[in-house]
Amino acid sequence: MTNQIKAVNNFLFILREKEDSEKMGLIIPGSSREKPHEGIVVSVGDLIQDKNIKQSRGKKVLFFKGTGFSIEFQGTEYLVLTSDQIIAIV
Amino acid sequence: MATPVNSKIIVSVNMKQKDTMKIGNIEVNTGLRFETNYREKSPVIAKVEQGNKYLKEGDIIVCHHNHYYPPSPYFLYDCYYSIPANHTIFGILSYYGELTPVYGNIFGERIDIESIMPLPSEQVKQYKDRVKITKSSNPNYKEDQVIFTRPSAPYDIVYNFGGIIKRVTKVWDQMVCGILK
Repeated sequence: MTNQIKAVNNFLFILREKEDSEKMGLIIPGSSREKPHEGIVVSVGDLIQDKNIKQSRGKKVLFFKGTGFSIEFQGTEYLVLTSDQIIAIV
Repeated sequence: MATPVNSKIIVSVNMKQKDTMKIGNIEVNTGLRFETNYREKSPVIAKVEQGNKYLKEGDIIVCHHNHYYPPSPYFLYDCYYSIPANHTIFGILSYYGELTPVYGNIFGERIDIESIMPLPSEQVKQYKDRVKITKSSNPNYKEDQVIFTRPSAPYDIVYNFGGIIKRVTKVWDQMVCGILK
């Protein structure tokens, strides 16, 4: 399913890690959950200049909070970022 | 007539009827798809007076409205404007009413969001972040390919060519973030 969608230009497609629904035994409601700012790179655009980001497919990356936009395709939500929104490859 | 510099072209626009142009005996005008959608103010129809390699003298082009609002930095005199030759020029209008994209623009049609229940056509919603290509000026994108874009990047162009209303959805290729393989 994830093989069908491909990033182009300066964009990366990322599968964001699942957010914590429970903390210290307390269930956190959806609106109060903090979205994790790390995820797995699914696809890398062809115009990305940085060598490390270019080869980051399948690796976990950290990115700035609140950046990018989401695209939903076949029930999967992808986070779309530009390469300058990536902080580090873990 | 002035000479264009810095990759600009000179066009003439009748600002009293900026969204109307006559090609031979056929009247062409652009309009809004939705009455209160401010993102898609009428694209302007202009005639190329001095062009370049891609736009020839006499070509009728459809371009973004921002270049023409007074006080326009591109205004020369009378009805003449010196506008940049870039992606803000959406396409060239043929004598048959076909719009051909230029400068990295891609034309397509919006994709309906599938629903479990059958809905009447006015209730069917469309994606704001993907289109199916009908024509592309960028060879990397092919006809019938589905492209994903930044949210709300697709821009609707509605024009009336000799009484027939035609619609295309325009996307600049730099706004494309993904494709379907």
